Amino acid sequence: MIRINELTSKLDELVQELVTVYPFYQSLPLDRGKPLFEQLPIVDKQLIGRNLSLFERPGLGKVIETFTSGTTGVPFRCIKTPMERSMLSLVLYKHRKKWGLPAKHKMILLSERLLSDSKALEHYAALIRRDRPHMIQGRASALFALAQYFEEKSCEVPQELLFVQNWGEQVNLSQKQQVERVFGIPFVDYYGMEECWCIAFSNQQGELEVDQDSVYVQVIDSKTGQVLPHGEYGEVIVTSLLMRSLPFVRYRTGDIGRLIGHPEKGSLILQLLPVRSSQIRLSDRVLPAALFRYLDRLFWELSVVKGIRQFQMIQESFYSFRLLVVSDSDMSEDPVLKPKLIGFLRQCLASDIELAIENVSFIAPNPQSGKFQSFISLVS
Amino acid sequence: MLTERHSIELKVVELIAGLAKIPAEDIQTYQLLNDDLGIDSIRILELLSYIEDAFHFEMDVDDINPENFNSVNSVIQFVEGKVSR
Repeated sequence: MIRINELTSKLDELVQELVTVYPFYQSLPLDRGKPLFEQLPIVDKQLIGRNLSLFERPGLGKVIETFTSGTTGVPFRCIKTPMERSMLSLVLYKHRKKWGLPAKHKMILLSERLLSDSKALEHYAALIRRDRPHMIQGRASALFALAQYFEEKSCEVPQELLFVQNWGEQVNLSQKQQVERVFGIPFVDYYGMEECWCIAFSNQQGELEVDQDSVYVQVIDSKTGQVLPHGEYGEVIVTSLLMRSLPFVRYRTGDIGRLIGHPEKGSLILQLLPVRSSQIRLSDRVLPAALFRYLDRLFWELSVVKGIRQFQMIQESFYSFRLLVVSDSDMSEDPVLKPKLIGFLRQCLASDIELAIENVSFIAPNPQSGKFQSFISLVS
Repeated sequence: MLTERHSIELKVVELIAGLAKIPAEDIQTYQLLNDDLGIDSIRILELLSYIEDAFHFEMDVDDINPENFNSVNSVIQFVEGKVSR
């Protein structure tokens, strides 16, 4: 919980630091007579990616790199100092502690490949029996598959298990209820992004509560950039109050949602618009499209070398795919991209596949949500 | 005789030295846990657990604030605040 004057003061400090230290913000013509924060432009992955040297903190020391394309298909390199990682990790732990997680705990992280490997569920069940974790983290679909396996095989749920935590995938109510019934513990949800980690986390009422100590969330009209009042749906933009190596200020998440304030509790609830979660549909099963996260580094490297600015994978039939690429170079027969993608898909889907790569000048967002998507399936 | 503040400081420094794998006498209270002593995000959580065990209290959710675990000094001040309540 954060008070309004405390937030205003944090945002003022942030603006002062931005206009003093960061070249991008130094060049902005700000009117000192108005609230400065509200004058800062809304930024996105593409703008930051194209002007990285203007956004990064000058004279950065050691940083840790990770790569993401998120759900929007824009390759992006994230950097964090070790100190920032520690702070972000404490924020995450604070929320998990609300669900009883002790500081000294055991956790199992389900692999993104869990659903594509027939032996994986057996492996994780054995691991859970042996390690007796306090929490299990995974995609909602993977947690659901694990719960089904536990039920079918009558596996014992360790007494130490306090909750399971979703990440990176939207959960539907029936999945949540099924997992909670089988494991007999809460299914908690997390909303965040690789760039600044936790934005919101499940509270005891099962709502996604914004972490107001570390992020400032606003909802805007995507077309006008105007901030919308609480209760109205629009695009979620986020400002990290912790990230300084690469600040994320009024940063587009691409997600659609609304904020509900609880003034009496001082809490802020984020309700995300339920969009259909991306899944690769095969003749006998479905796999989460989050599998493509394994290619984030490849797409980032290609963005540097070949000027890929955005991509979208379309599943046209069970085993045929088309990759749309917005790029400076012709990628249709690229000697690196095509073989790597075919090999990756064959391995994940355990089947032969066809792949076409097409250069396009623009990738359209989803007409309903307005959100850019890195994967869509045309298979019904 | 050690004052309570001094005794807390010694114990906290000892815990941090163990995590950072350096002698306690080489640690200065102004040092940052991460940048100066190399205590990474995983070991910060270990530190929370060691503090709970060493000072016999359980952290509240509100205690898990990055500002409390920024430097050796901030940890000492945090522990002092907790044990004096």
